[in-house]
Amino acid sequence: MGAERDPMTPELRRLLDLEATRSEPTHAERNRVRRQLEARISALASTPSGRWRFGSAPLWVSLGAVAASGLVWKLTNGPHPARAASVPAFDPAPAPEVVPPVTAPASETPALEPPVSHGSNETHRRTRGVQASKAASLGDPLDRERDLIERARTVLRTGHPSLALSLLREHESAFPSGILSEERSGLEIEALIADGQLKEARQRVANFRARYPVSPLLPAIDAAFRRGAP
Amino acid sequence: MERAPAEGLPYSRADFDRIYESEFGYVVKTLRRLGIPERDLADVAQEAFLRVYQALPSYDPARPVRPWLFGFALRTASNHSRLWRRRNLTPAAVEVEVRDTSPTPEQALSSVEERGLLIEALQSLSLPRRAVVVLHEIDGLPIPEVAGVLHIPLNTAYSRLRRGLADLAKALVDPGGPHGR
Repeated sequence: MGAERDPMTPELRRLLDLEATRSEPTHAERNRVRRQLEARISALASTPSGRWRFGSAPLWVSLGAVAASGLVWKLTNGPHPARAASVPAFDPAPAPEVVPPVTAPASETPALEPPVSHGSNETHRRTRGVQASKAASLGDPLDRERDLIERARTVLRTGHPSLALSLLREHESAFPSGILSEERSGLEIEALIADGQLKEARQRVANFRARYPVSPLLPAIDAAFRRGAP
Repeated sequence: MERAPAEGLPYSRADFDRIYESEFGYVVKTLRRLGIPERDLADVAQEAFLRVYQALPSYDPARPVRPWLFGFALRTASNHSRLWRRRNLTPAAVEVEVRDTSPTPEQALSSVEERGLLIEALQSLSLPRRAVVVLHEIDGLPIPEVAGVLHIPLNTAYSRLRRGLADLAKALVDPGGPHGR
């Protein structure tokens, strides 16, 4: 059996070395992105869950949704109006003219529903009804996904893990392989822990690690386990 | 390998700012190598740093910052690609960067073109192989550390590297063909 040929040719090595010496982006680019980033960080920091509390995985949900919706916006509407104005792409070619739509940009931080009271089954049913009608009124599947996830996050934070699990199952049923599946799985584990279902949560964590080995949600999940461990 | 500020845990806003200032270029270059087209780089870098901001309390300053940042870049790039696939769209062909600091215009044009070729060839690799090639061959991370960053077994990392390089070599010879997808 002959030795396997080394795929690294001198030419390939040269190109890789060349790429390794690529110049840095300019300060202007760095500052443009920074200005936009500042605005989003400020918006996040103004909400209780937006502060540096790493245990609050829901913020990841928001970020994921915001990121995804921003990209969807871009795919369907062209450049985001706010970003097009302040954060041009690195490509020096002029961006195409885009007339901003009248509706609010999807990539803004989603406004959270006020915490709902779940003191009774009646409240629960009413809440679900509102949720269902709002989700139905959202045309974009991603908006519907985000809506369910955000609601699950909110009710989990207000101490109703079983309701959160119910919403997350609803999400799973409607979007079995949705864009926010990872966020759903992470939130589900947190809800299971909060609900005292530690055995089920551990099993889910093993699956989660296997499926999303580099997920940024993992530290939050581990922290939730530490908090929920008997 | 650059490290985060050594004093205490980098929980403050100032610590985030330092990481941003020192590593913005690294994140942008990594995103480009992972397949983000030039026109989306600013937006995707912004998303990556938002995630970094939120995850900062989990960062261990005793560890190198770049492999940690690479995880965020990889995850954000993966989400970006997934979204494009879901829309049955293909990201535009990699655009060639026009800025360069090479000494003469002729040399600058040449190196820009060559970098463009490599970036385009990298896009023909699957993301897992691309990640290993970028981390090891461009960032210079030893393979055991690559395996640690990507949470994969050592043998898998070596295998992805070998196959990734083979795919890359083929893609440079035959830019239109499918390699390692």
